[in-house]
Amino acid sequence: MIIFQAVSKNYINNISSLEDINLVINRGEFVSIVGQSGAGKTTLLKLMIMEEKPTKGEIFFDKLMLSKIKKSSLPTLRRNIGMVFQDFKLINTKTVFENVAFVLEVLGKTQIEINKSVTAALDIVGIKDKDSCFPYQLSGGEQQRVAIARAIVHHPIILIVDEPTGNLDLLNGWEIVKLLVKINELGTTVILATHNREIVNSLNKRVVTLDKGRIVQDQATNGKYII
Amino acid sequence: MFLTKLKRIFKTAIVNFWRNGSINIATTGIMTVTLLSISILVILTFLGNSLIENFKTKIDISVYFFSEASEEDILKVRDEVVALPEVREILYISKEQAWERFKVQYSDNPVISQGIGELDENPLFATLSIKAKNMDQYSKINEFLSNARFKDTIQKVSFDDNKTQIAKLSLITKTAQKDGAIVILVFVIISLFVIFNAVRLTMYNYKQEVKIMNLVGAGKWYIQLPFIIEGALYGIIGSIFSISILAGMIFLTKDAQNIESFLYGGSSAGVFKGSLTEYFKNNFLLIFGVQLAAGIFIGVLSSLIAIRKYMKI
Repeated sequence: MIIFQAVSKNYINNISSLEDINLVINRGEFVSIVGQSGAGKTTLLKLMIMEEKPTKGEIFFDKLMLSKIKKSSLPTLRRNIGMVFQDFKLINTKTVFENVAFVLEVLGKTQIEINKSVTAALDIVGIKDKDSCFPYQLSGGEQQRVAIARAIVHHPIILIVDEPTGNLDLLNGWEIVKLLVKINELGTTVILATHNREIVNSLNKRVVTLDKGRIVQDQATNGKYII
Repeated sequence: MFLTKLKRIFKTAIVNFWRNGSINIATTGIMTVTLLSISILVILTFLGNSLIENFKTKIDISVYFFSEASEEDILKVRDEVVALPEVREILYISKEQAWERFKVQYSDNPVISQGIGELDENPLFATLSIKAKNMDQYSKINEFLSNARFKDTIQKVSFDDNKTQIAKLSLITKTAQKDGAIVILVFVIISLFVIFNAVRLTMYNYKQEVKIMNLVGAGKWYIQLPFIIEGALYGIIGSIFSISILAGMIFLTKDAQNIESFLYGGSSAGVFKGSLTEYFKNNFLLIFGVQLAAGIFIGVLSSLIAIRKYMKI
């Protein structure tokens, strides 16, 4: 479903963030991307949603070659992906409800459908009662939940999650991971970038390990966080 | 679906405008001041020009004829002058008419009235009062009148007396019109720059928001339109405030405005035919319309340019 073919990404000053990445992620998989801070996890995810472009190599989304995609088709591609950003990226001028509803508004859903889906998504992540708050009125953990609700509300084909447990305590972190597993069981491909060893080890799913911008290990099943 | 989206775009724009209270008040304030300043400047320039035009209509050259010159000769000169392409208006005052006018004008003055009574004959001359189409043409008309064949008929042409004044006024007119236009242009450019930067700073707040919208898959126009409408709102509200303040200023200074009566002691023959208040009332829709259109144009253009910068993801 997502294929990376010899992908490299260099930032300014030729500092290499990713080097020669070859990776195939199939539909319905749960893949954990692990590695220390600065290993290139976030860059890898940014390439998937085309927030960044590769310096070398090619990325495919199904049969679509991402380098050939027109700028006008980019929104349509992104609507198939749900992304939970490390820094949440919530819109500060919109309430919790409006933040989650925005994706559905973009898709042109009716107000009735929006009300129903947003309430359900907020219920799943457990912050239904905060729907009229603005992001700055919430704690870090609550903001993370809103970001997850926004990423799943439109039932995307792929859910990309960047460090979802970084701002949560252990208990809340586990709850979020259980939620991701549940979403994956319902058929959504989940790509999880994290450096939380305990969570990765308990998942028993595929683990791709990055170190200094290279894939050093790809354990197809029962993967463990080994560095 | 299109209508639903359009409705949402408008709703987002209005909600954004409302929620960003203090920033939007500042931006709308700058827009108001900009529109108001440009309007005042344009009105002042227009007022200045109309005053100059008014002065121009009062300038003429007079031709005095010898008292022995026959009416036939005088009328011949008049007909020849009328045929000149430079002449706009010509007024012939015969010896008798001049005498009658003089008598009426000084009827209140007993000394002069007595002096008039003692005179046996009319001491005045027939005159031609000539107005040129523009100020530069008086010297040409003067040249024509200085022709040797008129030397027995024409006693004097007042051009030499008025020459300096005419030249001065001609220079003032040209300078005022040229400099007025330059001042307006410079001011408009500065104002555009100020308002553009004010809107740009407001839009800078939305930088992150625009990026997020892009990343969650919103289309180009779905992202941009609310901000463009917000830009238009600055123009609409700014122009409403501006026209209200302008109206207030004009009505409050109503009594001080009668420049013509101030200058000519009550005669009112100029462009305004009354006061500035009258002019403002008659042209209210035009002034407001131009302000509104300019405000919307500046607001929309500024926000479009500003927001496009953040669309590159």
